[in-house]
Amino acid sequence: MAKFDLHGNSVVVVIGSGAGGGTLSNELAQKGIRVVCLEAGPRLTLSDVKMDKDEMFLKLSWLDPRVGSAELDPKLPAWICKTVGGTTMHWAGISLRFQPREWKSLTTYGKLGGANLLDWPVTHEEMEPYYDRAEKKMGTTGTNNIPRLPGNNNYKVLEYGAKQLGYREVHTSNMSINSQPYDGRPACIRLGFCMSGCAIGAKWSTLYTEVPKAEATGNFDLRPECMVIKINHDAGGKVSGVVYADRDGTHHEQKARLVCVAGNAIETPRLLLLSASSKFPDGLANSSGQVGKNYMPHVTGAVFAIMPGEVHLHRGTQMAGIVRDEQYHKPERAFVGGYLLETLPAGLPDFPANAKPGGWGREYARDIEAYRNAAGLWIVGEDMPQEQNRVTLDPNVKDQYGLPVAHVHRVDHSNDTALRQHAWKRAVALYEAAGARKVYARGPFPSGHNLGTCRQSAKPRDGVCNKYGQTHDIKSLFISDGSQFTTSAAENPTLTIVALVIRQAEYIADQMKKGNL
Amino acid sequence: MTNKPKVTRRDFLKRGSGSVALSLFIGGGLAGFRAAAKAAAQATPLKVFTPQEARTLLVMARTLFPHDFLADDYYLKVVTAIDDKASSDPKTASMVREGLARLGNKFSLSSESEREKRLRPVEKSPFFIFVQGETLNKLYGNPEVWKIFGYEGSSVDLSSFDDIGWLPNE
Repeated sequence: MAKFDLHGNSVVVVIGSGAGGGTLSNELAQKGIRVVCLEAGPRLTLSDVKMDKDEMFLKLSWLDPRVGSAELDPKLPAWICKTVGGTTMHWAGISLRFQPREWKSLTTYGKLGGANLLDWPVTHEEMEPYYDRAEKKMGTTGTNNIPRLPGNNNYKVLEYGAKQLGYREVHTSNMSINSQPYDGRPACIRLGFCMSGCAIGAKWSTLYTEVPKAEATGNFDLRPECMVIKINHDAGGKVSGVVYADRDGTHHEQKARLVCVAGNAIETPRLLLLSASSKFPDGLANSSGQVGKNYMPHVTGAVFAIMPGEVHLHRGTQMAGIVRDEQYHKPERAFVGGYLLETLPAGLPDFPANAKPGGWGREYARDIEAYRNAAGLWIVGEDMPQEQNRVTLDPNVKDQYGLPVAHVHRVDHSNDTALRQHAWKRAVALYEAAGARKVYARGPFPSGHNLGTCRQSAKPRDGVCNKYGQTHDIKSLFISDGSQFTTSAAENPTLTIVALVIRQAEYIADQMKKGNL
Repeated sequence: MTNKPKVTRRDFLKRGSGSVALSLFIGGGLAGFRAAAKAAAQATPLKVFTPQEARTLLVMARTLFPHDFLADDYYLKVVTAIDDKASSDPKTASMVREGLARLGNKFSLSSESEREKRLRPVEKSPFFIFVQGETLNKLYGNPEVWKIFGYEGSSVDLSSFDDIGWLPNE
C-alpha cells in the first residue's frame, strides 16, 4: 500500500471508491499511474457485513443531511452508500448493457416538450469493447460462458406470469454475482441479503476486487474517512489539488495533476458547485449551466402480489430475475423509451411498509399474514432528463463541515408518468395471470440509481463533459461516475459506469503519455 | 429505517419503584386466553403514559394491525417503545397523549369495527401516522414476530429457495 506525499502534484486524485472511482483507480494504477483515492466513508471488511438489514443500512448508507423536495423523501432523497466500495456494497448486482438506440435518445424519440433530451457523444460501437471488459472484470452471468444463477421462487412466479402474458425475454438476468467461483471469489450461496452487502463476497464490489488489486500495484493510496470539500485551481484555471477533511475534521490539501470526481450524481455536482471561485463563480466546469441539472433516478415503482401458494420471496439471490420484453421503444404505447421488470424481495417490516404505505386494518392485516405467499417485482425505466430536476446547494441546511448540503428535486415528466402507469398495469396483469389473490402497485423508493447531473455532450454548451468524461471547461477535471450519463436508458447503470471508466482510464493514460494532461 | 430499542430490560429493573405500573386487560370480544393476563402480570413500568393511556394505545396498535394469533405481549412492546420515545421528547409525548385523549377512554372497550370507524377520519393526523409508523416498525421488526409470519431473516433456509411446487407448469 503506497503513501503519497500531499505536495506531490504528479498524482491523480480520484474522489470516491465505488463503481466509478474504485474501478478508475485500479485501471489507472494498473497502467503505472499514481493515484490518491479519497473516500468519505470508512473501510469495512467482509466480517463487518452482517445479515441484518437495519444494522447494514446504518453502516453503509450516506446519512449526512440532504434535502429532498417534490416527489423525493425530504430527508433521504436517495439511498446510496458512504463506505469504501461506495454503492457497489448496496447494489443488487444487475449488469445490463444499454440497447444500441439508447445512446441516441434525441435522434430516436425526437424533441419532447419539457425534456432536455440529447444523444450521447459516445456511440454504441465505441462502447461495446468496454462492455466486454467490464463483464469480464465483474464475472457477469450470461456472458463469457458464465452460467446464469438459478431462479428462486419469486423468479418462478415472475417467469410463469410473464409467459402467460406472452413475454419471451425472461431469465435470471445478467448478474455480477458469481454463479460459480470467479476471480478468487466464491459462488453465491443464497444468503438473501444482497443489498445489505454480500457477506461472502460473491457479489462484485470494488471493496474486495478493484481496491486490493490497485493496492497490490504500489501505485494506489486509499484514504478512507476523508471527505473532499473543495477542488482548487491555479490562476490559469487548471485544477491544482483538493481540500479534504480527515476523520478528525482536520483539513489537508492534496496537490494533484488531475482530479476525477466519482462521488455519485448527488455529491459530484455538489462538490463542483461548492468549489466556486472568483474565476468560476457558478462552480467548476459549469459554463453550460448544466452542473446539477438533468437529475435522473430512473422511473421506478414496485408491485407486490399475494399468490395462491407459498413463495418465501426473501430466499435466494434477491434480484436475479428479469423480463426484458418492454425495454423497447414502441411509440404505440404512447410514451417513449422502455422499462424492465426485475424480481424484488421484501422481509419484515419492509413488506407491510412497502406493499401499501399507510395501509392498516383487518383486511390489510390479513394480507400481511399471507407474507409467505408474497411475490414482488421492481420497475425500472428510462427517465426523461429535465432541467428542473436538479441538485443545488441548499440555502438553509449545512453539514458537519459547515457546508451547504445537496438539495435534490425531482418531478415526473408526463412521459415518466405514462411509462410507470403502463408498467404497473403490465405487472399487475402478470401476477393476475399467475393467479394472484391481491396485487399492490406502489411508487418509487429512495433511489439507488442517480444519474445525469454532469452529463456528457458533444457541444460544450449542452453539457458538462465530453465523451471521455473530461470536463469541457477544465481539461484536468474528469467526471467518473453516473453523473456523466446523458440519458438514463432503462437499464440498471452500474455496468455502464464501469465500462465508461475503463475507457476513461485508457484515455487519461494516452493523453498523459502524449503530454496533453 | 428501524430504530433499535434504546432501553434494555435492565433499565426497567433499575428504575423499579416510582414508575407507573402498567397493568392491562383487553376485553371487548378479543380472545381471552391470549396472554392478556400475562401482560397484566408483567406490570411493565411506563415513564409517560398512564395505565388508561397505555391501554388505549395498545388497543389502537392492535386495531391498526390486528393479528388474532399474536399475544398482547407483542403489542405491549410497541407501547413501551412509544412510551420510551415520548419520555425523551416532550412534543411527542403531548402529541400522543392528546391523540389518545381524543379517542377517549371508551375506545379500548368498543368493538373492532367501531374502533376502525373512529380511526379512519384521523388517519392523516400526525398522531395517527406516528403511532402507525412506530407500530409497524416495532411489531413487524420483532424477530419473534418474523418467525410467526415466516420471515427467516439471517436464519434463512439456503436450500429451499426454489421449492415452490404449486405453479401449474411444475
